[in-house]
Amino acid sequence: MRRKYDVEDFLKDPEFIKWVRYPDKESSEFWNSFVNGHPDSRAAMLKARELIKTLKLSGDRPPAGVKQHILENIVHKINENELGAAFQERQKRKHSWWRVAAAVVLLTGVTYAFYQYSGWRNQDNIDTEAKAFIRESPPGIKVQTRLPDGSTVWLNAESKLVYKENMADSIRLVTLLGEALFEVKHDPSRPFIVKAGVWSVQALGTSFNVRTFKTESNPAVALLTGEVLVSSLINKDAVLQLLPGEKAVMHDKTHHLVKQVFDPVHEVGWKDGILIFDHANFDQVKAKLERWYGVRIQVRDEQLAMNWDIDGRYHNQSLERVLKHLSYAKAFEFEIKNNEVFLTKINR
Amino acid sequence: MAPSTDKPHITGDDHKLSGSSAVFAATQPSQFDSFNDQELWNEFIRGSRSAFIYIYNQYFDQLYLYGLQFTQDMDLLKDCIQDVFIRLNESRNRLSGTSSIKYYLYKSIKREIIHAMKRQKQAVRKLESIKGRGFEYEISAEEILINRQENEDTVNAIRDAANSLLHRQREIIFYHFFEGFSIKQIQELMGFNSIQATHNLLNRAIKKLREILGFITLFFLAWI
Repeated sequence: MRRKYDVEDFLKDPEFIKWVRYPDKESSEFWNSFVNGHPDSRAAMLKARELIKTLKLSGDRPPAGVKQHILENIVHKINENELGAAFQERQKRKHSWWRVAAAVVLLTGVTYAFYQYSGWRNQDNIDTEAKAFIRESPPGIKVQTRLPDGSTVWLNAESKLVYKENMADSIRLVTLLGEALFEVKHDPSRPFIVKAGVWSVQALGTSFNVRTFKTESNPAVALLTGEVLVSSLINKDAVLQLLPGEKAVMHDKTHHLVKQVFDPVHEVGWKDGILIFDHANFDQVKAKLERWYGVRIQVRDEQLAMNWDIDGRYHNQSLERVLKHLSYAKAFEFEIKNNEVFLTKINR
Repeated sequence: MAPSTDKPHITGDDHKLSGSSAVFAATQPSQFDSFNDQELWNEFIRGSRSAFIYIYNQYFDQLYLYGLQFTQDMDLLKDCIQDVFIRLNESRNRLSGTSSIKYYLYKSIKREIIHAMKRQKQAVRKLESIKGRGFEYEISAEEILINRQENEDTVNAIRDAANSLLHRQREIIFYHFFEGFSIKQIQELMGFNSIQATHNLLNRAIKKLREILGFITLFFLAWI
C-alpha cells in the first residue's frame, strides 16, 4: 500500500525543501525514484516545488559601497582594540605616523593576495629594461622617500632600496637591503611586493617593517596595519599571513618562519629616533650603534665584550649620552674621535 | 559533480540561495572557497583574519536583506551589522564550533536589531504587527520564465497568497522554505518556548497557503 502525499506533506519536509533549493546528484536521484514509486503524488510534489521556487524575499539590495564601508569600519575598530595600550597611546600623539598608516588600512585584498600569490614569482623579471632607481641611506642617516605609486618608505640607516622607474604601472616590486618601514598606498589591482634578503612580503594597503640586518637579531617582518603575506626566499614552503601587531621571524638555521607578537616601539621605534636594546649582547649593541650614529667602534680589551645583556631605550639621544649610560653598567671609558669610538675597560 | 549535459536544471540551481555572495566569491578566488562552515569557522576561531573577512563578504548581502525585514532604518541596520561582526571577533576565544554560520549570524543580527530598536524606544511589537511590513515576497525572476499570460497570473497568485499570511507566518516560512533552518533553529530564532509551538505556527502557515492556492494548477517549471 502506498500512501498518497499532498502538497502540505512535501512543504513540511525539510529534505524535500533542501532538494528544491540545493539539488545534488544524490537527492535528485532519490526524488526521481520517489515520484516514480508514487505516481499519485506527482502533481502535489510538483506543486510544492513550484510554490517554493516562485518566491523570494522582498527587499532592496544594499546601496553601492555600503558593504565595503562597513567592513573598513569593522577592521579599523578591531585593529584599535587588538593592538593594545602601547599602540593606542602612541596613536594619540600629534603627528603620529601610524595614525596616518591606520587611515590607509584596507583589508579586502586578502583573498586577492592569496590569488596573486601563485603567480607573482614569475613576475620578478617584468620590464627588466626599465630604468632602476636607488635610494640609499648611509650609516647614521635615516631617509624618508616617496615611491612613484604614492607609497612612503622610511629607510633606516645603512639601507638601500631599489625600484623600477615604471613601478606605478604594473606590479609594484621593490628590493630592499637593510631595514625599512613601508606605508603602502592601497591599490588592490597592483600588489606591492618587497624582496628583502630572505624575505618576500606582499601587501595591498598596509604598513609594515622589514628588517634584514643579521648583526642585530633575527630578520623580521612586523605588521602595523592591514595584512601582508610573508614568504621566505630560502625556504619556499614557508609562508605566513600576519595580523596587525604580529611579526614573522625567521630562524637562522632552519629558515622556519615563526609568528610573534611585538611591541611597536621595539620594531619601528627607530623611525621616531627611539634606540632600543633588548637583551642585547656586545656585538648587537656595537652593530646597532655603528649604524645608528655612523661610527666605527673599536675595543681595546677583548674582555670588555664578554657577557653583555643590555636593556635600554634612548629617545633622540646623542652617542655620547648613550655611551655614558652604557659605560656605568659595563665599566668602560670611551673616546670619540670623528667617526671612531674607542672603548677601554676599567679595572675595578 | 560530473558535467551535467543530461541534467542542466540541477546544476543551474546550485548557488541560488547564496545569491550575490556566491558571485562575489567567484570573482575573488579564495583558499576558503572549498571549506565547509565548520572548517571556515574553526579557521576564524584560530585567529585567521582572512577567514573572518571571508565570512563577512560571504554573508553580508543576506544579513542586510534579513535585517531589512525588521527595520527600514538603514543607519540602524548598518550599525547593527557592524556591531555584530565586531562582537563576533571579540568573542572569538569563547566561541565553540558551529555547523551553520548563517544561523549564528541571523540570530545575532536579529537580537542586535531588536535591542537597538528598544534602545530607540520603538515599539517592536507594534512594528511587527503592521500588515505588509517585513517578510514580504516577490517573484524570483531567476527561477521563473514567464512566457504565457496564465503563468503570470499563477505566479502573481502565489506571491499574493504568501503575502496575505500574518507577519509571523511569513517569517517562519522564510526560515523553512528559503533558509532551510531546522525546527530547533527556528524555535530559537523566533523565541518560541517549545518545539511544538514552532511546529504549530509552521503548520498553520502551510495550511493557509495551501487553502489559498487550492484551486490553482501550476506546472510552469520544467521537470527535473
